[in-house]
Amino acid sequence: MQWITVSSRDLDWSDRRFCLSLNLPRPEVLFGEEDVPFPAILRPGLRPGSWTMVFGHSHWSHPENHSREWISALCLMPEEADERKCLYLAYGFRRRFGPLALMEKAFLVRRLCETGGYRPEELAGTWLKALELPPGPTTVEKMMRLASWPEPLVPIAEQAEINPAVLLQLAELPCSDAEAIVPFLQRHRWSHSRQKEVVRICLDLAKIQGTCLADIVADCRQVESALPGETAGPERAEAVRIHLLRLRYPRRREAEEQYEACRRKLRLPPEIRLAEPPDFDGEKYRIQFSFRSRRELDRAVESLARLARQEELDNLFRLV
Amino acid sequence: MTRTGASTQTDGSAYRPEFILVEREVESLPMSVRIRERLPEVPFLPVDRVDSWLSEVGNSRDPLRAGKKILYLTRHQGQVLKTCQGMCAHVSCCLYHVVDFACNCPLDCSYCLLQNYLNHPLIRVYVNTEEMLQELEGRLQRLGSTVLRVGTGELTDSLALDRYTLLSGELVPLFARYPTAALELKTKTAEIDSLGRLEHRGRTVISWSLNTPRMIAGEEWGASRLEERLLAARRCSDWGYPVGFHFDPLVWYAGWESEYRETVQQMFDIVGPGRIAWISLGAFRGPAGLLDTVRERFPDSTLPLGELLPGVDGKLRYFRPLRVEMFRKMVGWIRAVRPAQTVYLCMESPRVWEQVFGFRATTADVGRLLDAAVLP
Ligand code: SF4
Repeated sequence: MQWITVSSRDLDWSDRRFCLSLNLPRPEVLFGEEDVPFPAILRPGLRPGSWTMVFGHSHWSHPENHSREWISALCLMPEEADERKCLYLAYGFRRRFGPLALMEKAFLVRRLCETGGYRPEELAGTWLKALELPPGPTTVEKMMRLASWPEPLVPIAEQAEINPAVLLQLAELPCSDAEAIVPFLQRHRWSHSRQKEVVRICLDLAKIQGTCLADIVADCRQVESALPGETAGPERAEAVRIHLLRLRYPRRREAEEQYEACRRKLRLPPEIRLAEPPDFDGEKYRIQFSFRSRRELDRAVESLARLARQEELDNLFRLV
Repeated sequence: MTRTGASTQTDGSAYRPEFILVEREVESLPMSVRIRERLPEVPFLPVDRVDSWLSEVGNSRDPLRAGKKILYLTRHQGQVLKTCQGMCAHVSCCLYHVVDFACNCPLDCSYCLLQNYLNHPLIRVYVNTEEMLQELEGRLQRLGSTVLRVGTGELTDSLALDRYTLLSGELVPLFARYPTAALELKTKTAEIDSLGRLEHRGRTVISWSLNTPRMIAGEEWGASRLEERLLAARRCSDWGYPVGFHFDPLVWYAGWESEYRETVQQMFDIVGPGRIAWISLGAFRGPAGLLDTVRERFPDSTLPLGELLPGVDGKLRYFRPLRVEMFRKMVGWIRAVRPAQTVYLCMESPRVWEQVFGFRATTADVGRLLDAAVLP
């Protein structure tokens, strides 16, 4: 049945109105027994036998509506629809309304499978590519799992603005783990790269400790509650991240603590800065100081000479 | 997937491809003919391009695993003999040279760097072997008194395809003719049958990557078990070959100490210390992206759970005190059995050498150490 005909001429992107001409024998073919699933007007098209769906201005102005409903529209495509047309529509949509969020893509994938009659492996190549997702059947599975997250989790995930790569990672987790970590990410508002790091550490820790993410998150809660009440959000988030890093890299933390202890004993004057090699992997410390007069320089050099005589330095050298 | 179904190879049983694709241009070369004759029941398909195969493999659940079921016979382009990629400014390396007769490997180790390195997942076998051997021999003829150690196991396992290519039958006698050259065939298999009858004059070291039985079972898919490797080493040693062992990657996990200690002991028990030319130690390391691949492809792997931190060269390695502790213990267990055993570290800085052996080895030092171990 060749009843969807979409070409560039059929799409009207002007003035926040979205029109899609469908060559339908009758409107019911599109919607079947169901109601129109979104506020669209269906009217006779210009060509004989065609119908035009018009999405009105007010509807599209609600950002949380437009992509979901668009997804519904796409999913009404019959099995026989040419995949390229769908891709074209997805592309057109992207140009008009910006990229789809990952959750929206997840709903799209699920609807394509469940309503559109696509088999998951049919979506694994071109479709995923068009949606800017890593190709392959495992991505389809992850998207299906994301789309089946319980309803309260979905808006939280959307508000948390989770890094799409992280969200895909979370899709592999049991729902109870996702329910623990998603609100945690929402609360701390880390940048995308920090989210990636934090989630990675939490997952590793859960494996190392043989526990679940809820326990790791609960442990972080305790760290948070020990912070002074006036601690600002970003500092709280950083304190939690550092706590996680220390749990994940205990030997490094030990070296860091020893280093800090040495540094305290050395009592460096404030104008002299000592820097350890990154991750204690190199073998050299660096000292930096600034001065703006001969007197300041003399003072710094004296401090350095005193420093060089301290026995505590040996402990510092043992660390690298 | 229609052309590349599930594989049945789950242990050290011999690798067998499901398809052989051959570039039309090299179809009649002797190596192509040989591989075809030795795998008569495997479909042998001349192709102009492999694009459709690549996209089919690419759409499979695990493209890297699926690609390993296809041998792609093609022509090697460019220089044959290259320096090992381990050579870099931050580490003391062993001045090793490599020749790649294949690119990609029938085995599938979770930690394999090739996963993030190859630009397509089929196993490429270079069948213009005659040309390659000629070029290699040209280099060997010009050596004079310069020492050259060459390996074939950088982009593949040196022996995993040998029962089909019989390449060792050409390489081993070639190196036997040059007194300052040494060949190393590095493997995780027990594919040594073709080595027994060869004229080698001690110029070829057959070496095995070793790990604990737990690591082999969990991280080295398709490889031979520890005991099989050691028995194979024993046979090679009986045939007069010097043998080598590479404890690489050493992995830090709960119980590593007792298990690595036992593995070292088992190595000496089965092979005997006499003919071990060298033993290398390398702690698990890799680019950051490798860990993502390991997590994705081998979700049960414990490798990413180590205390891995980026080093000065950007590669992830165990936090240095952990590495030093592992190396010191390994060296101690090895030297307790054979005090004079040549042991070296793979891709470690002079500082780590100093902490483990008490001296800062330069690249030239490591090169000399290994030359002395294998050349008369
Ligand atoms: S044997 Fe070597 S080349 Fe082959 S998969 Fe294992 S690590 Fe990679």
